[in-house]
Amino acid sequence: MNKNSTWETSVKPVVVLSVIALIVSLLLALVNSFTAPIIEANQKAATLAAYVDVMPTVASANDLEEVTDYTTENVTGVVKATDGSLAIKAEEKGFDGGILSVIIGFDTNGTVTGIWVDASTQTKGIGSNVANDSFLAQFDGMDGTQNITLGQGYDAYSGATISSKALFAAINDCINCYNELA
Amino acid sequence: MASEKKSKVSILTNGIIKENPVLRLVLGTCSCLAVTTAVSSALGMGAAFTFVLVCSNILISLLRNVIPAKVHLPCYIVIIAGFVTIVQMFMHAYMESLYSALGVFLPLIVVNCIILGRAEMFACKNNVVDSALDGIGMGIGYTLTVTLMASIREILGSGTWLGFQVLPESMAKMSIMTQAPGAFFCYGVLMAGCIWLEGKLDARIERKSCCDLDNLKKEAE
Repeated sequence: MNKNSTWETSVKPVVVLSVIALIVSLLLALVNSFTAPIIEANQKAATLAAYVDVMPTVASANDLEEVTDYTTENVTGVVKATDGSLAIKAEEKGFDGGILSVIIGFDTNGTVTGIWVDASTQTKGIGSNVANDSFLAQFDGMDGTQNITLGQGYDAYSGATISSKALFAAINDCINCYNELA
Repeated sequence: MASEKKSKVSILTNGIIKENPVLRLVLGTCSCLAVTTAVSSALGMGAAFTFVLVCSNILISLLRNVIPAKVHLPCYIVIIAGFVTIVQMFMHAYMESLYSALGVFLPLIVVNCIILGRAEMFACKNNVVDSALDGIGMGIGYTLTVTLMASIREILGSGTWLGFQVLPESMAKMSIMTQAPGAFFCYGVLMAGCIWLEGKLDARIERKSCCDLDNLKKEAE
């Protein structure tokens, strides 16, 4: 075949690249259909463990009951323990669109019993610091029925303003949701 | 790289010292500096990296007569990205903690210059067996290097190795080793050590400014 034919110079590259891309996509779809359920199950288990973590009165995830009748925006899950305490999960967009998730435990009086933060989507060493225990300690035991404002009694993590704002927004989502349900 | 009479063993061992991808070819530096704060993540990265490198080398070598020169880079990228995504999905499903430890550097294997470099320098010119051996050798070289570097940084910086306490807790930790400057310092020392070792093993190795200079010249002729 003539080396300079249209087939060799223009059509073949397109065809080969398309075929390779198609095969790779098929392969990925196959692997995804296999791993996606496992990943989802893992995440569910991790979330349940975090719920238990922020509720000192709850010993195992079996004692939790899912609550679905809430309307607060950005809240992605609520569980209720047998003694009436609640744990609420909220998600807010943080730095560069990364989702920051927060779980807050409330006892029956509305006092915050624990806070769990997943900031792994934020910049490592900067935004991810808002999940540090020493930083989160300021929220422990606060009144969970009043919205909080950044800079008024509660501090942002120095140098991580955007992630801190997302954290405060998510905390207020949880508080709003608690007030709605309580 | 010479498809002439290169023994299988030398292809395999090339990547460990003589053409160590990190220390001698100075490729893949970014991931190397980033994941070496802990031995466990360095080992995980090395394993993921080796898997992708061997698979992409084999596939690209198989397809080396099919892929037109015009679109060879896009083809390589698609193939490499495919393997990386597969590794990423499996790691997310079965090794959650490693997955979060490696973070963004796992998907970044796609543009790791070592993999693309080996595809371009070796796999597209050599047969499947040689390419697989080259991938394994380079993978071992990379894994050894990052593990060694992570060992130095973890022991000096956190006093642990693979999470076990090896230095007495009372000893002051050189926390700079866990940060970027420590990584560069460690990198330089290792690079010098590798060149010294190379001289010890075979004094006749000529110093080249670019690993593939000979080949480039040959191609130009």
